[in-house]
Amino acid sequence: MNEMPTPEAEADEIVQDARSERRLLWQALVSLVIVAAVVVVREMFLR
Amino acid sequence: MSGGLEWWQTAIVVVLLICILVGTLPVINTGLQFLSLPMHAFRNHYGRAAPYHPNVAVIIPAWNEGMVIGPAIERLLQLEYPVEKLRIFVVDDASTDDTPDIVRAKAAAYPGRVAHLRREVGGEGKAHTLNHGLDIALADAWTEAVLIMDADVIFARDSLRKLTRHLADEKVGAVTAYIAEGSRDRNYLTRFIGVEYVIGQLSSRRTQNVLGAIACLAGGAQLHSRANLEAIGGRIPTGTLAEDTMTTFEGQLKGRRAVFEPHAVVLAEEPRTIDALWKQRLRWARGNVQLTSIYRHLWFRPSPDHKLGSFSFGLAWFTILLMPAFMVLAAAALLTLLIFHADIADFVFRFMWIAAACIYLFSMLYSVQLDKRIGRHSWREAIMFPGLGALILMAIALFPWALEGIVREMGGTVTDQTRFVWAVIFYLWGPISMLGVWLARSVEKLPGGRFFAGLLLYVCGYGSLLCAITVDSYIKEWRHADASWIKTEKIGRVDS
Repeated sequence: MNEMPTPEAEADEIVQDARSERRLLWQALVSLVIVAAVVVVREMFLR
Repeated sequence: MSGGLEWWQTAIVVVLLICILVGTLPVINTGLQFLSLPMHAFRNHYGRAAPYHPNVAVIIPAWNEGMVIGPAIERLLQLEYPVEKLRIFVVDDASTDDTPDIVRAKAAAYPGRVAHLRREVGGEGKAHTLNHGLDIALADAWTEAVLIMDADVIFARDSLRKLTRHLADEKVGAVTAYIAEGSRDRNYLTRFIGVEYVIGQLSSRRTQNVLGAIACLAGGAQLHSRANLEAIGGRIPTGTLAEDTMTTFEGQLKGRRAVFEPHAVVLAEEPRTIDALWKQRLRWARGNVQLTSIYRHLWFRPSPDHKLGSFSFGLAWFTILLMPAFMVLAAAALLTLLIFHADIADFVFRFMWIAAACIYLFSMLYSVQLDKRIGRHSWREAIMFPGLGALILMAIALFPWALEGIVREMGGTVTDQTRFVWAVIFYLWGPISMLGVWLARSVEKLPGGRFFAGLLLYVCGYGSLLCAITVDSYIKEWRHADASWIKTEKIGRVDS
């Protein structure tokens, strides 16, 4: 018999996976901040 | 010729600027894809998913898969899924190695759970092999869902139930997993492929979830409801090299949704040489050219029944299909602009490459976070993804004084003629890099050629490799070249 999580655990897992998708927002923010920092550094070099 | 322009010259400049804008659509599309990715935090299918375990018939097409089929079956038998709800059908496409013996041994060890289906005459292609299995699986009323997979892939233990949970929603007809590059002994090419799969799946397919239309269910791991398969005639379409993409389209055209599940992970072994990758991707690219023609009445025609005709889906499809043409168009327009008005050409070049640099940096920083395993072992390939040549162009666009400064530091002189020659090379870099990877494929076969092939790929970029393969697909389709199905060699490099 293959070990299976309980239906409650599986339902929790769906909620967890849905919640983990919110990381996409933070990851986008981190990436955007770094790009903005590079652009600012470039502008400082140009002056 | 600079300074004041006649009206007709102005008109030509405007036309050239439009050509350059059109030519940069692939870059714009990449930017839009990554900018809309965060929307998947809210627009996803988890709200309608629920624990659900239908009877699943797994169909594995196999031709000479002796080195990988055993571990693949063993892993399927260890999945976190009810034993009585999973049956494995290996469709042996007239294998000449020990595949039949291995599968028969598994069938004997697991009676009722593993079945060996033998085709005595094979070689017709993957779709025909799958249809042999589908005929048998769907003839049995027991089958409620069908998992189509490749013989070499290794499913994470929780991956199948993470796919089936979406079928709890009857509007969903098919679900696909994240196929991750999983070789234990990676080389430079498999690391590039790892990064490509993060961009092409974890980013692009999430965006397609948001848009409500999936371009392709991964051939290596696609789960269909019985209703979805029956709606498309119970068979995988033949007559195209992109049978998985056509199946994806047909299901959605019949009104059922397709979903990408990023948390269902399946590891796959990928090509280790440019030549092997070229053959595999040429098949995919030719298939996409064929489908573009087959579905010519679909593009950019919105429908209330599906999202395949939406503008955003069409834009994403054609920017990939026509990427080499866009690249050449932008280069040619920029070069013509250089002759008409060098100052405008210089400004547009810088603007283009600064925008490209920002989008590249944003997308790569995002990508290495999407799959941290790939991010850890392939960060160098993520940096080098556009190629050293393109990175230098980005640096020149960002820091325009640097190049001339370096040349003067080294004792060189910079004249207007030098600047003109530089500009020609810079503007033509896209087409030059495609020729570079074509050369890489040629030298790879020579003694010691693998090193130089790798070096050329790092200089020209992985994107240029894909563009060159797409050009080859145009040529092969135009010439109606032999379209026989060439199998990618797999020898079991993925740990089970």
